[in-house]
Amino acid sequence: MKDASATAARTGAPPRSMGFLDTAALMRIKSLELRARVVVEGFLKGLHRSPYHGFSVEFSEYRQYVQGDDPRYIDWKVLARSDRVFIKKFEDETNLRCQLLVDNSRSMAYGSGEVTKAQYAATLAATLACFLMAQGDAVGLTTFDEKVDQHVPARNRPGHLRRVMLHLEKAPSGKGTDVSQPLAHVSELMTRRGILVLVSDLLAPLDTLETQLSYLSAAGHDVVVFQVMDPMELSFDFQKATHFRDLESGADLYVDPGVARAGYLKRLQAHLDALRRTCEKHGIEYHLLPTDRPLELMLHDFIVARRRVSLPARARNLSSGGGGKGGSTSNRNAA
Amino acid sequence: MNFLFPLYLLGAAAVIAPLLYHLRRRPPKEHLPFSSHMFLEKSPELLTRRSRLEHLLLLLLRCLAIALLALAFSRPFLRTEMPAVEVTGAARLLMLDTSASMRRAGLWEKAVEEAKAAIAKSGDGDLLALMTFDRQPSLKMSFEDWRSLPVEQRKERARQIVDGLKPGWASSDGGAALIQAAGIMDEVVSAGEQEGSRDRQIIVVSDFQEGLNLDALAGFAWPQDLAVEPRLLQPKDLDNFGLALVAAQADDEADEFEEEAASVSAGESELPGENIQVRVRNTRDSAVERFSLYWKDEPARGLKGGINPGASRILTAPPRTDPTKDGVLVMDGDSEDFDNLAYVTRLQPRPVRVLYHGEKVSETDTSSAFFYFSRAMQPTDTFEPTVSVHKKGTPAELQDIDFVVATASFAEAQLPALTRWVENGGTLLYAMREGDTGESLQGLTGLTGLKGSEAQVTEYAMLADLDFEHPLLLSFAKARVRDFTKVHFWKHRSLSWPETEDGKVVRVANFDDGQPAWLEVPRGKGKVLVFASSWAPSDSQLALSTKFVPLLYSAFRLAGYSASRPPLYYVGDVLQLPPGVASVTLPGGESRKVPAAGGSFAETSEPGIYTADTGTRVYSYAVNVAPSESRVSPMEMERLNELGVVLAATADGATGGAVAGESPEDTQRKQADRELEQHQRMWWWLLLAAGAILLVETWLAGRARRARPAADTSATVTAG
Repeated sequence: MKDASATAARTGAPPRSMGFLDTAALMRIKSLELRARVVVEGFLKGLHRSPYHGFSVEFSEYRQYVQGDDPRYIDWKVLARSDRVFIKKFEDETNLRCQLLVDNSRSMAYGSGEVTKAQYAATLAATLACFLMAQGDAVGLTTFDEKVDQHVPARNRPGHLRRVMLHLEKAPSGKGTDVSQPLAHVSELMTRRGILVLVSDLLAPLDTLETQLSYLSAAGHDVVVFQVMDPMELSFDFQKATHFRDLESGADLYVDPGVARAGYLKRLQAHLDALRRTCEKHGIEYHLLPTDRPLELMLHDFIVARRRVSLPARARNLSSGGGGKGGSTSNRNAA
Repeated sequence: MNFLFPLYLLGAAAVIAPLLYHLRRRPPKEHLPFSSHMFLEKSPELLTRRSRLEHLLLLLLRCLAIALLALAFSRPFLRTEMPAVEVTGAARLLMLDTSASMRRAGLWEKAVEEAKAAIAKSGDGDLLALMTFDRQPSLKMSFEDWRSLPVEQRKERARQIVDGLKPGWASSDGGAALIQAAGIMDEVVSAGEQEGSRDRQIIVVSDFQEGLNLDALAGFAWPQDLAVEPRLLQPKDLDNFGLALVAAQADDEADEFEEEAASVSAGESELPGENIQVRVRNTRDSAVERFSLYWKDEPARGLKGGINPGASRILTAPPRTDPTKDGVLVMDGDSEDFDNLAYVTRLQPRPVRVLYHGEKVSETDTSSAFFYFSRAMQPTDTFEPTVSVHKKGTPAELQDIDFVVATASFAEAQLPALTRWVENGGTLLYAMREGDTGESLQGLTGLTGLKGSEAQVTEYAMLADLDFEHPLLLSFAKARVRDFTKVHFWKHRSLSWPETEDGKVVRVANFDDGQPAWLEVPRGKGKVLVFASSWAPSDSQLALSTKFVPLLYSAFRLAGYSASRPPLYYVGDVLQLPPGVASVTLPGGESRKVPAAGGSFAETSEPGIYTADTGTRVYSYAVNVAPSESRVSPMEMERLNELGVVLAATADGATGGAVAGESPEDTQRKQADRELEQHQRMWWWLLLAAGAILLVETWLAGRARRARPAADTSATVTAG
């Protein structure tokens, strides 16, 4: 993080106002990596004001030994000092694997203001990657439109962040959005449990999406969905009747906003509600992100989500008795 | 406010167009990129329920412009300004065509009938004037004359005048007549007798033949409130051959008619010199084609032929027995005979004014060259020479001289004037006297290096190598008269010039010793004839020879003079008479005195041979009917319109104007309205206002169009 702050200082990153960085101002920074670092640094600088504490790979806890626990995890020193039997529990976070799924379809190229959804999504993904790798976690990237476009497996080694950034900087080129197929593909590729962060406008039918999300959730992955939407998509606050050109199909449609607004908002809300319900149903963290929302807040949401998710995950880890690959890794680390 | 054409106000209903235009919601042409159509539904493009007027200011301006245009076209005016008009009736000018073409059968009777009908139509308050026209318009009854008569006598008087008229022989100049008539009508108004609203009209009773000649109207701005009512007289038929003499021209222009004619019976001309050319013409709508052309006193020797309708040809007239008499050519075959005669005068001698320059000029001294020359210069049928002698030491008066004869050298100071005269077309005969070294000749001919010296003659010299094809000797070409051996030359001059000048000299004859005797040296447009020996008895026998007088007359012919006919005259032309004419005899035999100042005679009111007697000679002049009168096909009435003449309604309302069934009061009120509207010209200001509004509208619309694209198409799309 030292490096990141130093770079930001050298390049004269835009000053923060109201505590958060203006999204449009942030997007004026050409380098995606630098943008991500600015956000992460800003977030960490303001952390002391936060009532939450960051989640760390160093964090560990003890609990009382109960019958059936593996005696290898008994903390003998504690037992010697206090004559109490505690089990030493190492979290799996040190080897957290996070796969970022970023939508690269043409609809992401839309932006009513200075920021397109694609830019916002890329910065979001980059910020997460930067943040997680700074913690020593492994980060992977999968971009997709109707199918998987690029896949970078999660790793944590020098130069990997750079590779992720390069793929993120690619402009949207795909056609339609079909989340289910790439999700199915990713679930095949991700053999180890980890966090799956889906960044997309999710402007696609939800029929098969639910199935895939349930698979992933059932496979033990923590799934976080960031739905990126343009403020105009949410409000449809257009004034003049005109031909609206679909960025994905290229088709023109004459729409009088005055007439069509109510129907549009209604259908959009129904879509969003359905999506939210689906996520809730499968324990998936869902966030709707308008592109004018500061990215620090997104990071905050993410961490909060992680805290919420981590408890059941830990419970799962413990209940499985360190079974599975994650468990074995933890055990190895502890050894 | 009143309107001249209130129906145009209906045009204001066109404001509905911009209203509809503004109500209609046009789908915009721009495209707005959007992420997905997933939640969008197509809107209907024309929504009447939600339609609301957009761009109210623009709409208002557009409606206003249309309304103003409609208002302008309806020609509004304010009648409150209308001056009190005293309606006093119409002013009509009746014009009667009295040209030669009106002599056709039945035409004049119709003309009189039409004129009387027009007279009868005049009301008590109307004014009427009467005018005839052929090549000159002539006012027979002015508006003043009409006014001065008691009301009940006016029409009767006009009828009497018409009865006293008859068609003449002159050509017609309808254009000049109409212009004069317009002037007369203009004076009626400007006389200012509170007749501002008087309806003014010119009634033209004519056959409106093609030869009416309206050319003068082309440069005349016809008053727009002056209407002309043409009363076209239809002739019984339109068959007419025209016969006209053609002014002297080259022979080759004559049509080879004789060869084409189906039957031409003509004998050999006994006098091939008489080459009378005539133009025969057939009218467009003629039904006849065959004609015969002959001399009046020799009908048997004529030629017969045919000519297509509308065609015109130049023919050579048939030969006649005695061309030294005046004659009349007759053309037969058509139904109209007013233009079938062509009067031809006999050939008349050409006056030649000769200037003589020489030494020892004496009419009594037989040794003088002038003694013989003056005696040779007697008038003949061909020439009428008058000789004036150049006094030594004075500059030659050359402006009225046709021919110069010199038997002595000129002073050097006189040479430039003479040379100029020769170069401008004059002919000079220079006979070298003994001792002449050719200095004057060098100046006159321009031959540099020309020298003369006395030749050595043993006993006498004779002429040899005569060029009988040269015009000077052409009359001696026949074998009977070509013997020049009896002309002996005791002395002659020897002429020499550099070889380089050979091309400028034409040798006509040599002496038998090979020296040049007679030469022609062309110079500029004229020429110098050089005799290397004179006709004085000391030099030669030439003056005593029978060749002398013909030789001099040949020289005149070489100079371009010949017997001729007087110029062509048409009826109405002024005859140019020679000095000394006291009286002129008309074709009818009547004699008219010519004023002492004389010189011209203008009373050529009929075709025929006019003779003028000077006491010593009788001159004859042929006066013919103008060829334009033969073109009797009626002209197109549109021609009048093209020349800007306003045509009025004819009696049966054929050309518009007053609406049938409309009372005179209505017509006059409408006329007054028209004048009031023309005076106020409100339409002009309305048009101006409409134009200004449209300009503002254009500017506003342009601004709105520029502002529109920036408003909605602000979405950002990154290139894919």
